[in-house]
Amino acid sequence: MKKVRLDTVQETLYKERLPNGLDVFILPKENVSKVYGIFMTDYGSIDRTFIPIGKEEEVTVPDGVAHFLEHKLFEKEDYDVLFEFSKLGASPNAFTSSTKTAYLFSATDHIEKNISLLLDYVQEPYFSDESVEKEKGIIVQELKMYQDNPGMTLYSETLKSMFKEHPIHIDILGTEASINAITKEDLYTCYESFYHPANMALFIIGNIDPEETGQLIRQNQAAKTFPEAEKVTKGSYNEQAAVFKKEKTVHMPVSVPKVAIGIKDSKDDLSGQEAVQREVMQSILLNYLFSKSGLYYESLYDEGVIDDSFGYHTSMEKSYGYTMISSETDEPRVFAERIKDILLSIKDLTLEAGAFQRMKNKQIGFGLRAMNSLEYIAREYVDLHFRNVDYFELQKMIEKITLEEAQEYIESWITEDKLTVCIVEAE
Amino acid sequence: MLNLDVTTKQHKGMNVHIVPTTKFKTITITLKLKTPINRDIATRRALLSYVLDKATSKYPTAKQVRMKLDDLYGAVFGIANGKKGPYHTLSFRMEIANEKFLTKQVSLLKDALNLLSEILYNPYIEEGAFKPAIVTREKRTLRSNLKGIIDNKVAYANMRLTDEMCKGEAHAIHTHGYEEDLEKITPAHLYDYYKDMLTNDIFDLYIVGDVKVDEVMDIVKETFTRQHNREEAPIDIAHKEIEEVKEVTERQQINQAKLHIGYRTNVTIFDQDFTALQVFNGLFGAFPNSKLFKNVREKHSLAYYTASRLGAYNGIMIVFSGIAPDDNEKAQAIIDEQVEAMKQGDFTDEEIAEMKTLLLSNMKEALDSASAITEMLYNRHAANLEFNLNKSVERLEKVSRDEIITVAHKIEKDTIYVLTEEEVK
Repeated sequence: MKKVRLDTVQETLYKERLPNGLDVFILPKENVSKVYGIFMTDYGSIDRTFIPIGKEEEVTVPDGVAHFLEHKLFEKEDYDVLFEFSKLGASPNAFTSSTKTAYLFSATDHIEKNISLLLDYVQEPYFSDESVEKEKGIIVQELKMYQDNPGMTLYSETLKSMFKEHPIHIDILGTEASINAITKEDLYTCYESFYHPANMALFIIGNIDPEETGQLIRQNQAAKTFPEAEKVTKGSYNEQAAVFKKEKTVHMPVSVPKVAIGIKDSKDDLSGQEAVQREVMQSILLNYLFSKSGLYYESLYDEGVIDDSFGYHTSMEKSYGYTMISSETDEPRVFAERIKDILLSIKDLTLEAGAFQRMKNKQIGFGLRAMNSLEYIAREYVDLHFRNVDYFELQKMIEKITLEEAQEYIESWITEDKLTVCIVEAE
Repeated sequence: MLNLDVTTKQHKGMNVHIVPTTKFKTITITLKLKTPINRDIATRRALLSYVLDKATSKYPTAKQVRMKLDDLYGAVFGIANGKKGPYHTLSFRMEIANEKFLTKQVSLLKDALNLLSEILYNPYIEEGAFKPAIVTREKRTLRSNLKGIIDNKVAYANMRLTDEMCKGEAHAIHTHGYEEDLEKITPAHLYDYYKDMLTNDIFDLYIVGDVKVDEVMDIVKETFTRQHNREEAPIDIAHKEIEEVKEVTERQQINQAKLHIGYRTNVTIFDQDFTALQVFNGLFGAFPNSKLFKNVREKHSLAYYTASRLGAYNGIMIVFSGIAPDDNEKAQAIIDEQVEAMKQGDFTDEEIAEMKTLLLSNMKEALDSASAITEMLYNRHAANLEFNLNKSVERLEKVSRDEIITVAHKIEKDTIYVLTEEEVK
């Protein structure tokens, strides 16, 4: 295994690409009690149109398959994965995002067995008509739980307003109808196309011996046979640069209205590295403008335009990107006007060096804090790995951003056609 | 064996708990204030958690307070208002980078404790009151947050179940405050209560991170100069008899029904059989391999989530689940069956052993989080119970099948609360 010494954080990372293409990362930490493992595939809900491995024609699978598949990997012909982990004293979990699906566990004992179980259950699918049918009721209830949550509704409706063609506008879970349309065959089609080891990465962090763990993983993988790795051709989307809808109001029973401004990012295809750089730049600028010590927070708060639920985040992937700024407020339309005015005026803003430096420091401090969490390190590391960025280089990436670059960026970042307003309020 | 190096010292009436550890890249500082829960002060205390970090005499605007935090390498700071058994707590939490990971030479810990002390002891005061504009603004935020509870259906259903089940008990008092009490609070009135709080509350300071006890104590002595109360007010926890199971149904325009059932276990953290109750709760509902999940979700596909949760101080267990409105009766019957199965001892020795491993593993994992360590220590300390991980492990290992069945028989269903869809007209 290749050994990388990380001086800034005083850690050592071990990495290796196995013969079957799987990327393995091990980060030993001696003074913690637990071990956390995450096995991630570079496949998420947006990957719904593609040419399946071994086929020639493009297919579009029902919405929600990636997430459904995540649920169903836990059930086997003669055992239930959740119970197996519990027997080993471990806590398993999994999640599906727009671009990734991940399987994870944390444990303090039986580490080797837990790692083997993680690898084996993800790599040995068992889907039957009966078990697929049985899962539908559970996932429909998961969907309904989100539908009753106004924050989730706001998020999903804002995405729908920003994007017209790109499948990021489709809910990760799909719809009740699409969930009910999913078959065992859909699951196998997606599984075979996207769960090849060459499309996946494994990260193990915690109280472990890196060499022994590496050996265990190597042997586990060597004992399994996989077809030759093939790159899956994913569908492309002709997404317009402007937002799909400029304004939308959704009615649902909610006691305090919620509002979001979406900023759609320009649609140029970015390399992973460029996407991450842009994400970092926008995060620093958003903090400069809207964090509690930023340029506008105090006046917005004092005027009662926002309250302490105010927040923002930016997400930049290879094929899409956006920023969302949202709050609960009694005055959603005033919020929309004020935030839009600010966003459309920032091209004339002259960034102040001291404040800019403070925001960079804040970002670095956030990074250090996040490193207390084994889960966070592992998740971020593999997620960024699929975007060809080294998680441990993020601090340097932040430090390198100059005032001049940020000034240049802010002058061209936002135009009116990229903005959308979404309001969730009671009828 | 489990190890946690904790030093507790007294300084001017305040307990200072220091946990030196190299596990974390940051230092976590938590100051906890507690007083018995009481409706009269609940809303004022809740409001203080909003007001105190908005202006101090040295940093007279919220922005200046936040800029000071940014200067400490983006220190995180928040005040949380909550409940710990019969106590209403206020927690001031701060997390700072460990100096050794920064390129510049700085004294973050000292600066951080200075800022904490400034926020706590030197709020911005004019004419014997908090600044009226701040109080007005924060009342608005709190009011909006209180109104918003109903938008989070799980939190709302939990609150409503507790309201109904614990009417007249301290546990039913909302430590997040009451809209109708908010109106009456004036800036002067709030400031008076703030002074009472400093005088009467019990103070505990927790510092977890790569620190040295002596150095921390030197800084604490310099920055915390006020004398604090050590006299705890007496608390009596009333035992409530259940006459019959209460059923409450509430209707809203929703897609998923929330079924929340409250039980009195008649066992609390102060009792010998509390550890057996924890094992019971594990087998019954706390985990994905518990009876509830296995049956309500995996076997009958009725729910995405279903679990049980224990209140250590009041012995209340809540079962909660999100289900289709039509499945209410079916889900209740399945939950009742699981309680009955527990009473009948319908679990294997192997399952007991697995559950103990899982509980032990959770205990160990908690040691990897600074805030979990703080909460674990405070849980024991606030109840005046000894903190000894190895004794806890020993107790857990000794729990027998009979003890689990015995606690199962002590459990009584008290209230069924259902939040469901509006009636179809």
